[in-house]
Amino acid sequence: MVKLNPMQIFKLLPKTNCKECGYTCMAFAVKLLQREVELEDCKPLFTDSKYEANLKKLQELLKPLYEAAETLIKIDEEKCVGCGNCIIACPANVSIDPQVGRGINPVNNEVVFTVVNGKIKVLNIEKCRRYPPHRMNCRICEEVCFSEAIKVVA
Amino acid sequence: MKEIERIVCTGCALTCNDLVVNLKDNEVVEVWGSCSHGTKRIKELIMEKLTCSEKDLDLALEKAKDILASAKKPLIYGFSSSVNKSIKIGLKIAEKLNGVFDSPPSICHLHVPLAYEYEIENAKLEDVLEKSDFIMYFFANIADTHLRHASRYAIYPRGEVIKSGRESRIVLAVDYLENENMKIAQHKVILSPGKEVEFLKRLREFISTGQVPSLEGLPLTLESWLILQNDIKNSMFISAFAGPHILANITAREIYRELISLIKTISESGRESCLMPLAEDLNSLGASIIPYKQFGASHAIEFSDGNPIHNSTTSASSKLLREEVDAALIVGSDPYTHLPRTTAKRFKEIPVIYIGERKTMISKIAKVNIPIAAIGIEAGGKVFRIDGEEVELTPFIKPQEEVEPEQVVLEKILAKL
Repeated sequence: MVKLNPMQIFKLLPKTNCKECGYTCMAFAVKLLQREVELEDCKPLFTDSKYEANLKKLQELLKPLYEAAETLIKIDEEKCVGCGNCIIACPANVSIDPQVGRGINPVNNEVVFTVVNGKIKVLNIEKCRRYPPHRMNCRICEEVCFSEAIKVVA
Repeated sequence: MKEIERIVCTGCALTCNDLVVNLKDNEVVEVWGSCSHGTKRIKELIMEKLTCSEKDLDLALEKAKDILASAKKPLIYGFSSSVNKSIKIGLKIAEKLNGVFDSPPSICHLHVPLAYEYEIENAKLEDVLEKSDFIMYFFANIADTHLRHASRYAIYPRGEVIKSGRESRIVLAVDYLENENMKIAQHKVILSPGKEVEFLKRLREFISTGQVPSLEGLPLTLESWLILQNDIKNSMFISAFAGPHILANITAREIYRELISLIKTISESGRESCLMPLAEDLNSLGASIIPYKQFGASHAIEFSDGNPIHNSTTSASSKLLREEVDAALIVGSDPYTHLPRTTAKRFKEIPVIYIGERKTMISKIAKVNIPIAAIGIEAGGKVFRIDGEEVELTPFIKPQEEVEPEQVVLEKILAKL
């Protein structure tokens, strides 16, 4: 899956740099991707009919972004097989519970996520490296997932 | 709510021992740490329980005895998910009745008995975790069969020697088709059937001589081979895991012989090495090791006047096809999922006794059904992990009244014969 990037969004914005939203169009695209602003903050998109087609495309493009968590990660529980690769590979999990680094599934409630009933269970999303405002560009959980149940959308 | 820690999983032959089970009124509410296979076994098993075909257990045992005692050549089949004690009793029953003993690995998991018959000195899974820096998967897809293999033991854990875990481990995956397992491998080799021995030979040639072998006929570019070669050269502990994608065809033995030679060459080159069969069923390794140690054959043993015979005609499949067995005792496995349809349909023509935890295709046609306590959940015992380590199971639920452990039921049948 191609990851969302600011340029894809920018191309569909009015590109007038009117700053009604408080930013230039490029900065708005970046902020939109980080979920720091809403699409509705771009007034011309909704009021000027010439942007109607672009608005529809943007809404479609941004759909996965709004389906994802604050970390911009989307987990498909149906696809998850509970292999635990993400749990053991996650650097945040290992730093919270060193046992995880030894391949042992965490059973405390402090870690970012664990496996319960054969599926991923997120316990403390705010401990994920990708959690705002600092958002590290960590994608380990997605890279090690056998079943493509974890997707980093942007 | 009661929390029980360090439960041994019975979902596959990895027997992960770090599960935590939450119980309420003797029922499982949550399982922490088990993959979907383990969870399915623990949570769904309870719903599909086998019921006794007779009024009580004694009556069922009596009927089972009558069927077995009046048979000229009974087939004693299954045991790939049984505890070691049950396998030993099953062999005694077959020996006593001059019957045929066979297990599912004889046809569709041949990598299990073959790997054992070659008797190489093996390391433990913990050694792989601590020290192995080169992992090879041959004809296997752990993403389908052994879900926690990579995260619990082989690739992701940080070991005492391999301190950075994944960053210091190289993975080679060899198979006939691209699979999910290859997603986490640096080296992927997709072979056409018939090229297995050739590939293994070239790998061995490089390890023993240090020279680049001819790559003619192999799906590898010189560039990818050189990277693979360099990674092997820099490794200290090579672990090989052989999977079930090689079926029991005529080349299977040849492929395994070559695999063993490769592992021996690696050892001779001064590196540590190991080879483990990726046995799928809980104890398919036990169902191969125990007969092999007792009778010199890991599967398909026919007893004649107390003497064990093993050849191409002594397998369950062959015996059923040639109508040479006249009754069957099936323990803990469903032959319909392991044997070809042409042979499995023969079960409809002979009296069948089924001893198991859950309803299966075979329980539908069995004359006698005897339920047993769920292995590793309601009843204990020992099984062999994929590295040959004997693991004690940890039951955590009380079984229903009148439901005995598998080994007790088999012992009672043996005593009656």
